[in-house]
Amino acid sequence: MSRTKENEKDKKSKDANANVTRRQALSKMGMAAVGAAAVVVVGGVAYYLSSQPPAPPPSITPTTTAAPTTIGPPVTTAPATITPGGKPVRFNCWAFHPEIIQENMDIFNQQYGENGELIQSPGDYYGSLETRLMTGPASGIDMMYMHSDWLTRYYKAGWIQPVNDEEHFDEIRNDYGNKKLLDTVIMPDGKQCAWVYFNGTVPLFYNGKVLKKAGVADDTGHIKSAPKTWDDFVQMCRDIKKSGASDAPYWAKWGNCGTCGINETFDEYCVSEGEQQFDPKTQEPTFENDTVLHMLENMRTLMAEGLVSKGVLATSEQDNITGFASGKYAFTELHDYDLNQQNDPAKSPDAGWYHWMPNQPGKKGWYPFMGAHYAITSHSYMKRSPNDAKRVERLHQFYSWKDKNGEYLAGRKWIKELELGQPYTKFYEDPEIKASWLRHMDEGDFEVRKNAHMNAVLTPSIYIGCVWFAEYHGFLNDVLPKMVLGESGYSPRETLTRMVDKANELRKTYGGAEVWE
Amino acid sequence: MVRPKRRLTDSQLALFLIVPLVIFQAALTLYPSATALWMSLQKFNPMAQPIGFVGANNYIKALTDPAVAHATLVSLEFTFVVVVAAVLLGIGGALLLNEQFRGRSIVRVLVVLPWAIPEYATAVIFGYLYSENFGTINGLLYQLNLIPNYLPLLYLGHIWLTGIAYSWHYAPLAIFFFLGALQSVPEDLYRQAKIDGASAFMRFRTVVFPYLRYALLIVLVLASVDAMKALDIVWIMTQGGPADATRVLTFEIYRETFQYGQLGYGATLSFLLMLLITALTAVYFIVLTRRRR
Repeated sequence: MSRTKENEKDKKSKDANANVTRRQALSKMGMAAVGAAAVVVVGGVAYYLSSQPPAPPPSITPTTTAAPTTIGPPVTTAPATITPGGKPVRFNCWAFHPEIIQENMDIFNQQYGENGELIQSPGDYYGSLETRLMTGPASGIDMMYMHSDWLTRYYKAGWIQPVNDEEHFDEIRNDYGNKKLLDTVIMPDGKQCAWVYFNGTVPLFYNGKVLKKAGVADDTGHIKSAPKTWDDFVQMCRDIKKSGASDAPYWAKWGNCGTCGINETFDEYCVSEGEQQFDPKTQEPTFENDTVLHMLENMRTLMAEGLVSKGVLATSEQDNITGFASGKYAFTELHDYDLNQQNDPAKSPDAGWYHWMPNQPGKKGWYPFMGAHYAITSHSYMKRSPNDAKRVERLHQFYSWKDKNGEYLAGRKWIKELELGQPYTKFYEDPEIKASWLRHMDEGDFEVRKNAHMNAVLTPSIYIGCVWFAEYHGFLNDVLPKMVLGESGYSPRETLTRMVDKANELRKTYGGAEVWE
Repeated sequence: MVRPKRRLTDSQLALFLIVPLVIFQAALTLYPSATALWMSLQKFNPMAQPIGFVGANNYIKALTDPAVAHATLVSLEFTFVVVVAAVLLGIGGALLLNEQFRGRSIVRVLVVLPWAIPEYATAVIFGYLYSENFGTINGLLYQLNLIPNYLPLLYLGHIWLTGIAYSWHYAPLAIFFFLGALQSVPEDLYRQAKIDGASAFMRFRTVVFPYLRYALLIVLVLASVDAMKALDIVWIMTQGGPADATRVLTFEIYRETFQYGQLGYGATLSFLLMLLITALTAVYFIVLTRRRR
């Protein structure tokens, strides 16, 4: 009996299998897929809920603890009752030596028992950062690298947290050697929005070997008489070309880079002439004058007389660095820390011959500020708990100022490894740090650099206050190359008028001073 | 009473199977596209309030903007260079690889490499090849006494040289499409034409080319679409320069959207680019399939 039953069962089972049509199979597969999708959705929701930050602790009681120091004065560390851990504190950085940034993050995590993480943004940094920040808390960004111009824009958008209420606020400001650096981080409403990551300038450099060949430098390759004005500079380029020492002596930084091409170089010329370009309060253009007009004429002359290669108009920032290191040119402007590449024998046949110009040409001879900052995202925008806000503040000051032991750990490392300038005056007196700078420059250059760093100025009205600077800078990249190439409709006078019109159009679109009221 | 088991009708089954796909497509394609279309009708710039509906204003602005017209022409020029070079390299390479020679298998593998290299790396490689200071091409021409000094090649040849760099990256794909098509040409047909006294060119035109027609269509469409969408290579090699000589439409879209925060206007330009690509593709289909129909 039981055997019969078993046989029947087998038969039914076989029949059932034999009768499974493609339709049924597909139906079953479809059901399975829907079931799997449901599991994924439920799982995803569960994961999302479980990954939300825990509730903030009831209160924060600030306490201070003394810490040993090597360079700076004793420092009070952030409150000991801050609860570390929980939601990671995240630092969004561009990919410039991420190994150093990571090393610092590891030290931070170790010192404070934290779980800080890096988010690297290679490529177009602000292109990706801006779209992430638009998403608010979902961006997961607590601290980030910023430049002054974008700082203005993001602060205006409500994404940046002012640092005025941070602990040690006055101590850090007092530590800065060049107080003008504060201009680079203070918004039109008086709020300070960041701390300095590094500061430097964009000076003129020369190749002493080429200048010596042209007879304008001594046997050691130091320039005999540096040009005092841009007219002098143009004349010196003519002399060098005429001597045969270089076909196109000025390897100008006139590429199309969004914020570091011909637009930045034009700003540099303006600063050296003492031209602010825009009214700091109203952002009205103030540059329609003979000084700026003459500057444009000089740019055109340099190109027309073949003192600048037309090739510079298609260069990137890196091309500018490697091109000058080729030894073919007499002058260029570079970010100051790039001198280390020129004077590196592995990278340049003329290593050791590159120097800072003793002074910037121009009526004022001012150096433009060039550098970057550490900013933190707005606590309210990111819906951060008070405890997490303090953790982020601690991370902020660890990178921009001192570590738990009172050392300028991150800043010191940037100088030693890559010669990035730091805002703290005492670094210039530190023999170890000075020695790292002297690896790629002589004492004379060191003094010029020190002076330039201590006196570099921001073109405040361009960067601070104008949320539309990116479009304006993009516009400069459109019109200035056409002007230097002598295209029809782009004479220096016409170009100047176009620039003023564009600035006014942008003010109209985005608003002028009233935006900050 | 046993309830009869309910069976899905053919239509219900089809619907049941297709719904997940439709949802998937809607989530990943239709929703973003619809959002972009909606954005293209807005003044959508987080930095310049107010944000709001502007109807067709963005489209009117784009169609009357000289910068957009210029960028469109540059994109078409770039696409022309890429497509011509990719087709020539593709057919030439395929004919070569279709021949019997020692090491053919290895060469076939090596030919794929440029396609496997990211556009970024391609741009860097060609940037060095064209360099005014260290460039291999300049070095070669100079050593052969063909030029007195190193030339600013990227200034002189801007869109053509960036196009050639891109087609070098793209050619392997074309080669393999054409190679596949070549292998379907009947050997006896080819031999017959030879016996009939057809020249090499005639044999190619009358025997080989009809078999390449659809491969050509695919290559033309793919190369055109990809060239019209290309951004990395231009961004890295010239950043749109000198002046605006290599400012392709994608560059303009990227700049407006991600650097200026003009999300609405950027979306408008993207839709115009999509229409342009669709029109270009339609032309290829009409021209290359007309005779067959």
